[in-house]
Amino acid sequence: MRKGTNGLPVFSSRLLATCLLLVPAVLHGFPIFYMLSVSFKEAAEAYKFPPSLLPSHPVLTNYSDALNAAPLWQFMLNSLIAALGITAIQMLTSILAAYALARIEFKGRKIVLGFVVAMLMVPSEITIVPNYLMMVRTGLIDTHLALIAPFSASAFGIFLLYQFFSGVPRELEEAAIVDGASRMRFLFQILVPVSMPAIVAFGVFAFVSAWNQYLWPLVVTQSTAMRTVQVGVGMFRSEQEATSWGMVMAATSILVLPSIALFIATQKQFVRGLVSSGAGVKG
Amino acid sequence: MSENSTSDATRSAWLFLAPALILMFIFTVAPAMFSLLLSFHDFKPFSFTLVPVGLDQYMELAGSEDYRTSLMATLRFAALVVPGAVLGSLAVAVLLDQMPFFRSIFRTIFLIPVGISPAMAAMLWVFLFNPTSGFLNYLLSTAGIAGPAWLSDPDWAPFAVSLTTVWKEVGFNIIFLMAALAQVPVELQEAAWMDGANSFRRFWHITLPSISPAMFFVTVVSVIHAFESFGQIHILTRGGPAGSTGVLVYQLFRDGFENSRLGLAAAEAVILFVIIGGVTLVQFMVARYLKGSPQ
Repeated sequence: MRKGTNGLPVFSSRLLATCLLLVPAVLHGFPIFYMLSVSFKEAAEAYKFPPSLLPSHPVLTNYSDALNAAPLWQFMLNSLIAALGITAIQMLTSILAAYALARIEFKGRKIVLGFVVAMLMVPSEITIVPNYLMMVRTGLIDTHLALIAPFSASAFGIFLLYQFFSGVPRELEEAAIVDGASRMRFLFQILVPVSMPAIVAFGVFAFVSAWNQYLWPLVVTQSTAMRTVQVGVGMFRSEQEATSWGMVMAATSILVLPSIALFIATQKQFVRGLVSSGAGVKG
Repeated sequence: MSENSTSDATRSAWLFLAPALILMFIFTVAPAMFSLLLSFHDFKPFSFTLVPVGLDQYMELAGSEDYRTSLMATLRFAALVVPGAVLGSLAVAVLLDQMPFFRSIFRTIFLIPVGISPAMAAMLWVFLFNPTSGFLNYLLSTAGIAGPAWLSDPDWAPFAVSLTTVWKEVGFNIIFLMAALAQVPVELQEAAWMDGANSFRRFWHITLPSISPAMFFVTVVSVIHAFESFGQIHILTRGGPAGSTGVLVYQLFRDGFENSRLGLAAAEAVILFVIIGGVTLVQFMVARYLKGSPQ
């Protein structure tokens, strides 16, 4: 019997797990560490071979050069407007639709639900050419509205909130509606407040997804002043590659660190949003 | 809803659904149908007119060397990324699941790339791949290996792009696998341990079957993500060299938005839709089956 050795194998296997993960974790974090390191290196040191892990004479000039080379704050403002716009509209349309699907018995409910699930499976590439033509035709190309409009409804959000709303006890609703409160008031005064964890999880997910978009903003923005963070950072890759790696990494740092900070701060909500969707929809 | 008549409930339901359904129709359903229509037409960008060409654009793609190269590049990319992202995340998730201390710090390190965009991931890696002063070739040189020109050698560029993608994707899979591992019944694990099963056998006979729905899910999602990859490729290699990383979405982008052949791009989008839609549908049906069958 191995009962007597209860403590030891468990402890040693846990120690082993920690040791085995140490190297992959260091390697995984390395690109971000190295970006920061290079962003503080002098021009000559950035090219030196063998490369140094840390800058021998840290300088800040790369950051001022990066800010002079491209309107980085404007990129961030554009991304912020687009991502906040998409998140707000998706949350509103999803909450309304999810409420109807989860809380009202009506003819055609099953069909609409099936339609929403079908929409989950549509890859965005199929809509990109017609949506682009629509933006050209309506003169919306190269505007913030063009960045937002195609993403104003989210099948993912509807489905996620539908699942959550379905799980909220019915008694709450009975009490509210019997005394004549309208559905709208019940939704926003009772259902939405008790569903905050799910709504926030979806909001975080929607914001991060919108902020990280690439193909659509690339296609639909034309002027440098309308570029988002993701598209704008690419300008450094194509144009400045030969000039200064320190500056390229400084620009990348400025543009990526807000994402990293936001992700660390909202990790729990992001993970919750993803997992509850996957568990319900797909597995 | 005893207090409401059926028609009243139906009317208010549709009112609540209207904004989402109308917007979905305008920006998803109608464009998807229009893509199909467009794929049978040559689009003239200056006059904004459609000239019917029947199946010509599909025939053109079927006979196109470029398109075949693109399809091969996509399959190779998926063949490199999917096993890396699935097995890598499984290994990390299992180890994280065992960790008593520092678990959240380690987990965060693996998850951070999930929160950043493919474009940013590419920017982080592009200098590491630099053949003369990049850190990757420096590491290889310490082992006595002369590293390749990662991004300009057609044999190595697919690996470089895949490595960047795996780095970004593993965290996504880890999220789902860790959630699944947390659900593995402890009693089963303990019973097997009492029976003297070693840790490998416990993993193989208990853990793996318990998380197989999650494994299946992350595999399919990794396939779909691989087929939809664009940002990191646009930044790292622009689909080159020699088309070695010019995946289907990249080809669509080039034909439609660089060469202004929007009708052809629509045909490519329809093909991509069929591929991804097919993969998703199979996944959906298998997931239903797994859910219904007893473990």
